[in-house]
Amino acid sequence: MKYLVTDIVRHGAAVKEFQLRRADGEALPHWDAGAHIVLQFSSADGSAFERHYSLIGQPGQSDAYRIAVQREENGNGGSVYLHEEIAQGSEMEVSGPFNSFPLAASRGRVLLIAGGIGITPMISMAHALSQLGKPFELHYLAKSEERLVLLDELRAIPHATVVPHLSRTSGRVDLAKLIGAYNTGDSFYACGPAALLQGLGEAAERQSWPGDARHFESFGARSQPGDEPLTVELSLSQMTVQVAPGTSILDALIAADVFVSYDCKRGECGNCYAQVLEGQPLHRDVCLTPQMRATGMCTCVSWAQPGRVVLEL
Amino acid sequence: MSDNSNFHAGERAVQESAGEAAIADRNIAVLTNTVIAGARPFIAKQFMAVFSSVDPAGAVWASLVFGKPGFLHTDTGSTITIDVPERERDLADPLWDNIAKHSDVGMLFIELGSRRRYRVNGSVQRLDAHGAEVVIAEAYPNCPKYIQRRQLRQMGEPRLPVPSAHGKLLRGSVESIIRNADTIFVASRHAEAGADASHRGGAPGFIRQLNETTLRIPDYAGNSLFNTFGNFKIDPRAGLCIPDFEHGQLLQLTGTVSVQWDQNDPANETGGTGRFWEFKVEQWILRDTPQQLAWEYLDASPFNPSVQA
Repeated sequence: MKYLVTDIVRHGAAVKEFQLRRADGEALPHWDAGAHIVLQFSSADGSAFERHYSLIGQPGQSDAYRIAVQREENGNGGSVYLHEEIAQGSEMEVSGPFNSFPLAASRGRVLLIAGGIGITPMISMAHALSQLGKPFELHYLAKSEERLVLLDELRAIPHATVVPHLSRTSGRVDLAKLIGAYNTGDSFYACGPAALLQGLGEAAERQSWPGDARHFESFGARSQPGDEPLTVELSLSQMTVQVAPGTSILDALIAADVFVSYDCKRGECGNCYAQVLEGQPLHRDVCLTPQMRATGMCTCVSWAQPGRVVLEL
Repeated sequence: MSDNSNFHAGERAVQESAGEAAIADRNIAVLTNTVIAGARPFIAKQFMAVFSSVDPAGAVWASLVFGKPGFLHTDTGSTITIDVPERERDLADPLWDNIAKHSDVGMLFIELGSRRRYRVNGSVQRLDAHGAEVVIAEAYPNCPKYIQRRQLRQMGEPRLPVPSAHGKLLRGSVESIIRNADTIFVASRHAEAGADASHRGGAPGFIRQLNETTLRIPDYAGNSLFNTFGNFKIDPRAGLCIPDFEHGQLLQLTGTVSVQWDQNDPANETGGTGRFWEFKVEQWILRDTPQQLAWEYLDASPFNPSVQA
């Protein structure tokens, strides 16, 4: 559906907030905490983009959607395009809202943990928890003070305890200490770069947080510099698929018509979990336990040491 | 985004209760009305399929049917052929009589050895001396979670009739099959949307027997579609099929289900969902498989929540 950019607000050097309204002037649908919209656009060189952005602000009914986009110089160009080419009055193709990061009812402690621009879904969650009168802690991890965008808006939310952690001044956060021991009913919601979420997953594992008490929304590329092409052999289908860095193993299997199951494609659900018979996986999911990783991998985000990997598929 | 014609009202209501409607909208993208190309050879090499069917009184049954690889096949992807000739059908299994009278059928092709499964719902358009053909309404792959790996090492020729027993109370060998089960199949149905066959797995002991007619089963996190629970919301009748891999027996139970939300779960039996379902048994059948089967147990799913003794 066509939307118009009605306002653009700067938050520091790297983040721009875009406000969007329906081009036909109709009201926007109600949305819940953790929801996102999907933007589709093409840059001047013809590259097509589909990007998911969390809605920021108070969930419910609103006149305009608000999204915050961080400019990623080393990304594949989507955020740079939005920063440079989109102005007030620009038209955008938008679908949603969708929600794959909903806030669940909880009896115990609620922790919101954001890394950098991963703060975006936490704002609506903080509003929702505040409205429920539910106390919560919001841990906001960033490199430095000027990277703590939208902090004033967060601090204005009633009952919100916002705890910034700045790695430049105080070093890396002890994630195990941050989440603490698990008590029945506790839950945490974390959004940020994959490395942070993996660290949280491991800390949660060590302290016996059950899987359903951990909620993750990840973003950012999982492919890493230094990834080399892989030869993926499938022992049951008796096929060999070559996968180049930049394409996920899962996407290569789907393209080759292999029978695979999957859901999130973000290393969050484990539905693409495949048994590994040979090879050394490089795990980049945020959902598997060490025991699960000992015998298998998420093909949607994980990679492997150079050479051959044999999956039981 | 609150209306999605892929789901019936029961499914939608349960997705919303679980707070997973938006996830269901995302995950339903894998649903098709034909079998995807990659799954056709998968179906053709299966030696086992799970069926759900409905008897003339409306009771729902789950069945396991075995055959030599190739006995299930789909050539165009729009129908599935089941080559089980009349002389090889165990008539103690309600399936054959049910599909002769009521065409709704749910199918699950599950390869326990590789934890892969594919679900197909449809209706029987042909049932004759050679076998059956099912027209597909919905097909989709399911995730590998909670599947214990087993390989079939040997399958004998079908010999019929095989011993079968019937009852209403859960006692003796029936009770011990339930206590040791790590793999069960669930049948459910919706009057318009059809029948569903699905899998539930867990560590042995994950099914608790509350009394001589009632089972309580934790509901682990799944694909958020809630096809089975959605059906229960509209029609609580259900069928279970519990294989006893060691003794080559199948326990089929029919009854009704009540779903329990937000249960106190101090031992974390549900893996965090707080959801259980209670199955009230009305009738059971215990019978030997027509073919002798030699299974090798490989390992449990690493996704299984732990079960306390």
